[in-house]
Amino acid sequence: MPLIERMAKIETQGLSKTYRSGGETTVALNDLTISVREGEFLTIVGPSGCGKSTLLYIIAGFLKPSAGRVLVDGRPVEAPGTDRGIVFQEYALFPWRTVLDNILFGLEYQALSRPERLARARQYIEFMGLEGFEHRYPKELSGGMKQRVALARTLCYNPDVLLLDEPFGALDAQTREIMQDELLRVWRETKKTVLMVTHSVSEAVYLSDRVIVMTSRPGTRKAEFAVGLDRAGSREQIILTPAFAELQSRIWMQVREEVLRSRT
Amino acid sequence: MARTLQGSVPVLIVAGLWELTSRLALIDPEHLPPVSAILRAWADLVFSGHILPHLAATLYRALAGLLLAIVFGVALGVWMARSRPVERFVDPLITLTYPLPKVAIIPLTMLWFGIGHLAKILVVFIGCMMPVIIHTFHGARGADHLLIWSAQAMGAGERAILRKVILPAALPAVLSGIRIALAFSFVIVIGAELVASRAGLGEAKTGSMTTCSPRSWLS
Amino acid sequence: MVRVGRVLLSYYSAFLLLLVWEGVAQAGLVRALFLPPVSTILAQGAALVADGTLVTDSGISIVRALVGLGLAAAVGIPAGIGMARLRAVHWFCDPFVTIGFPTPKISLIPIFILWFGIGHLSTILLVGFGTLFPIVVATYHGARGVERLWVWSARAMGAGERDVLWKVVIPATLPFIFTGMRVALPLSLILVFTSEMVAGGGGLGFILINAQRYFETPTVYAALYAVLLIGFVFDRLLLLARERILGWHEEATKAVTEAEV
Repeated sequence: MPLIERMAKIETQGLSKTYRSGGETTVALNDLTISVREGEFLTIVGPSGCGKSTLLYIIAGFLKPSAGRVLVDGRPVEAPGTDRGIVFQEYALFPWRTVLDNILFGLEYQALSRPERLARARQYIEFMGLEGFEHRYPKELSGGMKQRVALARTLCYNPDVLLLDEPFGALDAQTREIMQDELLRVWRETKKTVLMVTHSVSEAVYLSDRVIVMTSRPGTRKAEFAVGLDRAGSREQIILTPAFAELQSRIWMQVREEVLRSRT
Repeated sequence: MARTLQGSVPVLIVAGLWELTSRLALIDPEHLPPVSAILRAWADLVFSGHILPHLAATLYRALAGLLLAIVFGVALGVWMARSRPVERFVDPLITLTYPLPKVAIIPLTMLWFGIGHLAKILVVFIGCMMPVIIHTFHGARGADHLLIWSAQAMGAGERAILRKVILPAALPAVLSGIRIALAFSFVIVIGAELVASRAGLGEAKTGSMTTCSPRSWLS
Repeated sequence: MVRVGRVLLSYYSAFLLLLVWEGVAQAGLVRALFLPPVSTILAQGAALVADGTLVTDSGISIVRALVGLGLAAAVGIPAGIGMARLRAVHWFCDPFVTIGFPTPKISLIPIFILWFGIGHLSTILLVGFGTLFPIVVATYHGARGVERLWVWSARAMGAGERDVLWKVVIPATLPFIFTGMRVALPLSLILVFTSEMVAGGGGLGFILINAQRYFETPTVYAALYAVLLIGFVFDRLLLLARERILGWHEEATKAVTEAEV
């Protein structure tokens, strides 16, 4: 394999996924090839039901592809592994565990002593601004707080790759913006490779280095955009630039076509 | 069809083992008659018609008690949901008596009404009423306030609201209450019959051959 | 003090009813054979407690119910989880659950008497068998319905098959197991009392039916009060345990007076 400038962290090759239920077959993904560079923030947008979550589940190792394969660090993915962390829209916190115990879950499979685990968990509780909530149960938390816990839980066992499945989809508009900025901060400070799916175009443009638009079912790659915004300023400064607006509308036109196509 | 066939395999296996145990007299056949003997005895009972009057009596008692319980329970449940004073009066009585195993009242109803239909129907009625009241109450109380308010805004009176908003809203809950009550009714009626007929061991032996299956077919 | 007063006040209708009962009975409006005054019943109850019968026989019934329940839980919970997780277990058990679940287990009393006599053993086994099905079914549904995302999250964090079972499936199934117990508990009392009424062999059920046969009405009522008390205390204890163990669960803290059969 020729070494291009940097090796791809995640690579999917001709990935397809079909579901069979009863006599009907649904093609969720069709021959999808993408690659994510190390340290890159790549976002996939597309209409609902285009198979973008399926893609994440295959990369995470929860589902097996019908054809094609996934390489992470050049090695094929067979099963879930701690090199890839995933955060779901529905948080998927264990309701019977407190915030602290939820965060400790992933550390229970690392070669760490109990004090080391506690110290690490506390570090990420602080990192995500969860101090004072350590002993609350998930049912006592707001959506934004739950997503902070989910992020902390995934970050603290230090996976190389973050897979984010519509992470802010269940949050209200204000909380969503705050959490987007939190995610940017996390990404900058941890330098992880991030692959996110969302159906919010502005979220994709605001957060990513690169955006891939997927077609409606069966999902495959439709268009690709390099973002390359200057992120020096504040949120307001960034989203009010003409470059941001222009890119957002170009991407939106692509997505809109697919949304309309899937309706007819 | 294929699933039913497949599902019957484990049953056949166990029935076969049972038959074998009994045939080989590993357990006294007197205590554990072979499956084939039970099936034959059961078939005899059904075809000879001896079991039919008993079955009819059981059904009659269970359903009569259940029907009374539904009529009374739904009315009381809705009334409780619509009126605070009624709720305050009835609710503690239900909370206190709900955990009472209803079969324990059987001796009492026997004391009052002997061992005929009435004693059994009364126990069934009392036992079945509880789940119907509770479910109806929760269903009617849970009716969406916005729906009630919009009905009022459109000029509906209390009767119309009851009939057109609250009862339809409560219906699923009422039905689940009735489903529970139905199961209760058979448990209670069989319990009452067992107690009130003072089944001796002799009767129990024939009983063992008969009660096994037909009841399960009913419920 | 104020709190206790308020709770008592909220039960005013129960006191009112007892008062009316006392009045009606004292006035002789109903024959004492059918409805003795509450005071007479309480006095009889006190006498039966004093001479030990009520306590001993209540104890017998309670032990039978609890041991039977314990057996059912010990078999039913693993069976339910096994059915949900292993195809072979499901294949074998499902037909029996389908047949056994809706059968009124109370109709098996004569068979259990025939097989195991009229003592502790037959009653305990009857309770165990009778309460097995609601426990299996509730556990099975709970274990089947474990959120896919919880299992996935655990896998992604490095949990193996055993960890998923102990740290995800079992805790997630716990609320359903409690629901099953909430059904099984009253069922166990029903089975115990009926079996004792039919077969004798001591216990509160036997006291009830025996007193009825000899027309000792106050004893019938006193025993009934004891039955009510046991049922009530059992139910409250279970709710309390649920609240303590399932404090994390969305609905555990709201007390529901609901039972499924």
